Amino acid sequence: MKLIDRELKPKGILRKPLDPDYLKLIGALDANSIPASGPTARQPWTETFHLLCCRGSWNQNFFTGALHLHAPNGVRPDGNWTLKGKKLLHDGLNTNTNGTLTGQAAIDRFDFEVTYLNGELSTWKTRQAIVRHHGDHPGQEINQTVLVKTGTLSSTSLTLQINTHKKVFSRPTGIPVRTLPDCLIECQLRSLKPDFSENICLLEEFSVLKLNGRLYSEKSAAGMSTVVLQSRGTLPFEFWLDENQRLIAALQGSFGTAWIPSALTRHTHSKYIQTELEREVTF
Amino acid sequence: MNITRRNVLQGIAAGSALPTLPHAANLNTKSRPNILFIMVDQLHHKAISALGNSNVNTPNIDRLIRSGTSFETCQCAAPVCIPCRGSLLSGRMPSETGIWINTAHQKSQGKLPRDIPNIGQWLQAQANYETIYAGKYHLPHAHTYSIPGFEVIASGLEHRGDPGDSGVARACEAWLYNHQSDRPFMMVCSLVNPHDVCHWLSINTDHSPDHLERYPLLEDIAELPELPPNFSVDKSGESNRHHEIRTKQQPTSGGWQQNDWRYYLWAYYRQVEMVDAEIGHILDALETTGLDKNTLVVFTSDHGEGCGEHQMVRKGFLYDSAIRVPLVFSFPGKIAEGKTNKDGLTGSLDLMPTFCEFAGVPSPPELNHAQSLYPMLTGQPGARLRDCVVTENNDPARDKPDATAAGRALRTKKYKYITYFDQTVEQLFDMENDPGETINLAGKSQYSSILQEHRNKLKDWASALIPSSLLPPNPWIA
Repeated sequence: MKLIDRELKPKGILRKPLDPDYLKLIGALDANSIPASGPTARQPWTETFHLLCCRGSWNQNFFTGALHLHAPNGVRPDGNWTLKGKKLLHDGLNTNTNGTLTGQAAIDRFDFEVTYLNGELSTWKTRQAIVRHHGDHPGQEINQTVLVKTGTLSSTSLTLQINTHKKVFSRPTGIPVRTLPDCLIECQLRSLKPDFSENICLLEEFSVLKLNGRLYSEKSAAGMSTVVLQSRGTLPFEFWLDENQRLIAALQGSFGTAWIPSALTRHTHSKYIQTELEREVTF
Repeated sequence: MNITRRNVLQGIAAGSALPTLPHAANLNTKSRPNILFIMVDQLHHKAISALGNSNVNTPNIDRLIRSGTSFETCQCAAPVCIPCRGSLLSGRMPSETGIWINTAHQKSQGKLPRDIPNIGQWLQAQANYETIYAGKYHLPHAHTYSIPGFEVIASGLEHRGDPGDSGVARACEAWLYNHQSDRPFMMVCSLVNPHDVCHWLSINTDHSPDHLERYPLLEDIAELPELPPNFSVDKSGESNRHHEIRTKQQPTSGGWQQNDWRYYLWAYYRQVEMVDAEIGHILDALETTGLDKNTLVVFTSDHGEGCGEHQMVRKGFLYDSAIRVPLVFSFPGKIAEGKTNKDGLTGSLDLMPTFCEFAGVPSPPELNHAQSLYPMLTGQPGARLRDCVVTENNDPARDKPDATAAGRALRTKKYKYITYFDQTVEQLFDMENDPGETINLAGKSQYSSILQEHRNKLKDWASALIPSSLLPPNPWIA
């Protein structure tokens, strides 16, 4: 059963329940192109997720953006690897009564590149910009909204650089910066909350995987496991992983936000999102 | 030179300057302060940890409160988005802007009239401010790149704080890091959350009780917030208008139990925390760049949120939960730190003249109900206190385009008076002894003179309005 069968019908793809059984039923495991752990994990991989929101009702879903992940060298068993990604969101749009987005299009673009050393977070770069897709200069970044940040984590300190401004924070000794297997969830979080990387130094317990609070442990069903993020500063957010820790989907269950592998839907990205997916930037 | 509507229009058109204020005689382009105006959507005036609310953690709003002066009593001009935003940006009541109800489908089309300048147009014309807007606008379109008097750098997405607010806050943050101009700036950062609770409400009510059973994973939540002390209400002392609003709201129609209310509050506070985190990024940028030393930061909300008080959610009514908003000013070395002003009655209209006075320019004409808070904030002797502040409510009249359901809430230091045009029940509350508005004193004979006094104040207040010609018939305007 393909998701498209439901996509344009009133209940949409956020129909309840979007749970492991349903994800398996609609082929989510097969649709994911991220290689499983093991020898194939060394191969480069790319995955793009559709970002969906529903407005005011489960019956009004709209595609609001895309999340693109790329591991150019795959995931190495020694834990040394790089993940690149971009999160693209529509900006300046309103939903009309038919549930269609209208307005003056722009894209809120957020690029990131994260490196891991021995399985631990080591460095990251982020670049943010609002990109106009209307008016006289479509596809042009609003200059003043472009900002690059870098971060380096050593055994004793965390260094942040934003433009010419540098901040160095001491890192509590003996506390590892942990990640989940393959670090995917962490990257998702970084994308969801772009400045999460900065918050590393602000979190009381210095754990990468926390977002102003606790990260709940996993439970399993239908060959998948889930991590539920539920804490101060966020509504419950479920990350569904397969047995190889590949991210299959994510769902903000109490609110109506979902990340679905693009292969699961025949809905195409908007031309603005597509343009930005194809455009590369340098940090 | 008198400032008239005619030369206001000429001034805006030509970019010419009107006379500056005496205290601003020595201000030049470089020395005028920057203004950062942070506005959120639907924040209950007590949903802030620095104000003693242990259910929520708002370290960044707390920073502003600790570094500045807060006003305990600030009423919005209207308890819904569009009319209130028109008033916030212009200093004029909805009756004057013609932005009457919470929809673009009104005679004004939800736009400010051309002869009523917004703060961006005014500061740009009067003092060559660089005027920047990011986020929700809603006059009438929530998200647009066309706002008179402003350069828009980000607009947000579809009435959604999550995920739209992050991009808006990042754009503001980046703009501040990249700022190099000598011109003073005014930046409006208008964030949507915690308004997302409206979507949460619809979604979770649609599928109640399943969703309420599944989320919030009650076993994982250590504590749900307690219900507010004024959750239970004596409906006999209430106007039918409030009763009607409550009946139509999702909790009543969905038959919520107490835990459902408590989960609603829990979810609301998480959304407050989300927007607080975005505010933190902007404040960090301001401090890191050193711009904070010459920047007035102002924080408020367009209107409040029911939060279960009187068993109501969202907004659109005249109890304090919906019409009172936080109002914080921070300006290192210029405004007292960590101070709460408990005496001053303030309203969202007051922002326009306050911004102007800090910028060293006169206010636009005909701000009859707005008052600059500059003297109070800077500790000038003889700072005048308001006698009363009024909120207009017309939103429930969507089904009655003639606005016969129009209501008013007039607040004096001790009392609050509420009346709806087509209702026989008036409400009078002793806000010092009954801040939860639970005991209606209007029918008690010993309060008849106070009641009459407040009726008269409302009449006097209305007589100073300059009503828009676009208004439907209105019982308070002759």
